[in-house]
Amino acid sequence: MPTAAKPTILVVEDNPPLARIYREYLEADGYTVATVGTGAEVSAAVERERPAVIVLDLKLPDMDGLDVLKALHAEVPGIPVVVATAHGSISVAVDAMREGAFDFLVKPFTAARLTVTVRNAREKSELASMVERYRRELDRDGFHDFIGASAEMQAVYRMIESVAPSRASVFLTGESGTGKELAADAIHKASPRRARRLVAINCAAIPKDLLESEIFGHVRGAFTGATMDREGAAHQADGGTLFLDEICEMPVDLQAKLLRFVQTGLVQPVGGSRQEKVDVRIIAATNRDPLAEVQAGRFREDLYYRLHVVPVHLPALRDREDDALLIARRFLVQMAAEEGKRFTAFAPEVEARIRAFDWPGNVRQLQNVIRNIVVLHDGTEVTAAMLPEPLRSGTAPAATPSQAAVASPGAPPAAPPPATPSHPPRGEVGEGTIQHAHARTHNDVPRAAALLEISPSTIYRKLQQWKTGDGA
Amino acid sequence: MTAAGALLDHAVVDDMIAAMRPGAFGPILRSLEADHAARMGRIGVAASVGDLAALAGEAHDLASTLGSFGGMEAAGLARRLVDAARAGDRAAVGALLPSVMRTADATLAALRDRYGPR
Repeated sequence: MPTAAKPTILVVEDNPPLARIYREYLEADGYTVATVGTGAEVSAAVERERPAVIVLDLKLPDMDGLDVLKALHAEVPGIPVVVATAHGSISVAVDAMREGAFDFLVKPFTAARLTVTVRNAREKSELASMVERYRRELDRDGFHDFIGASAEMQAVYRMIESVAPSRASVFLTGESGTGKELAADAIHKASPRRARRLVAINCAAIPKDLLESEIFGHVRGAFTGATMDREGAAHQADGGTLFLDEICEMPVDLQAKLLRFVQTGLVQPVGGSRQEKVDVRIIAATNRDPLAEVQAGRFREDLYYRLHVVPVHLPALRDREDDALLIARRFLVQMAAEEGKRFTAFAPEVEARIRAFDWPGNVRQLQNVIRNIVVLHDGTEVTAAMLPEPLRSGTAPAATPSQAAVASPGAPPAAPPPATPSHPPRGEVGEGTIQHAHARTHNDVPRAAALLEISPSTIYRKLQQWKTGDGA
Repeated sequence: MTAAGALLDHAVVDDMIAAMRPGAFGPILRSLEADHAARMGRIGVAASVGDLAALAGEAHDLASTLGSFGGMEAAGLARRLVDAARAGDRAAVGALLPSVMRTADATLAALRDRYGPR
């Protein structure tokens, strides 16, 4: 049974009998002990031994122990140093404490005095590093490409860090604009697979009849237009990560093939007969409730349980404490630099409105609002008059994304009201609005998406649904 | 032999041995003997050439070492020698030196008699 490595104590003592006594005391207390007899040897010994604690005699043959202590404090401030000094040298010990020594021992000292002092030094050091670790984790205002300091996002960061090293499938859920793509990217980058590719497939953006070929590839002649063999995403992601976004939009017959792939790791290109084994980690994502999709019969239950190994939910921006303001400030500085503008801050009233707003389109909506302000206005401070509706009036916190994107002073003409007489459900944009924006942008889906502050993949999905008559 | 009790604080040595693994003290005592012989030689040289700084340094180490082994009387005398040497009081150094060396040697002999190999 493997045992944990014993912590090493470095004893710096030029007196051989005393060095041997201290070694005996410490080894009997369960430590590994390294000893050196000169100050010149200390730095290399610290590098080599990585001690948990250093016991330093202040009287060394080649240099002043206080100088050694100062150097240690500068080079390895996290390693506690206990100084040993002779009877009658208390003033030197006090100087050592001022220089950062953890404690001092007056010679001669007993075994108990040494081991208790070393134990205390270790415990204090471990507590300090634990506090530092928690502070680092809990105070993070960003993680990979995420911006956010809220407790909700700290939980997401920790979950990503925990799951990244394994090859377990991850199922990301969250509303549009919450950062599912960023999460997939962060998991891949924090994983041992980072040197290989992260290949992303948006299951809603690719026509159904081409999706199988996109994932598994095809052989020449497999279908009209297949003029040559083509490698699919699963093959491209070998050794890396395959990100299947909007997985719930995948046709049910293809779900069966994906299930087989998840179970076996075997790739069979469309039209081919040969199977090839690949090593792929799968991250799936959806903005729907995947279990509801299973219950509605639109998503295979067996595939759901294969993919839903580690669920990670990306919280909506409205549920993320003060993150909206933090993100807005970052975007403002970043976009002002990109656009050559002078904006550096928001007026207090604007900050209050950003905090109070519901952000149904989440971070993507916030991003577009800030871009809108930066592009259309100038100054050093963003004022309430620069805000697009409904942020400007501050009366409709639960606005739809389309409402938030338009009607800013000087902004391009707003999209007309949706074709339906009533507002669409929160976070949903009606067919009329999408079709109008699509036409106004000359069928440029990304631009239409930016105008409406929704994901381009949402538009692709809707267009596909309307085209095939599946309904919205 | 009667001096051994006064020269050594047996409780210090007994506690030291109790805190070590069995058999560990023998090699340490041999290390002390080798170190002691060398140190007494260096003290003799420093005294003969009148190098009070070197003498103070060696006496300082002697006090620490013998004090750690329960040699409280020798440690006390050695500390007085340190003070005299640092003060440049050659007369006091001359007066103390013989007793320091004699007591240090006697302390080591007492350690050997009591805790050395039989």
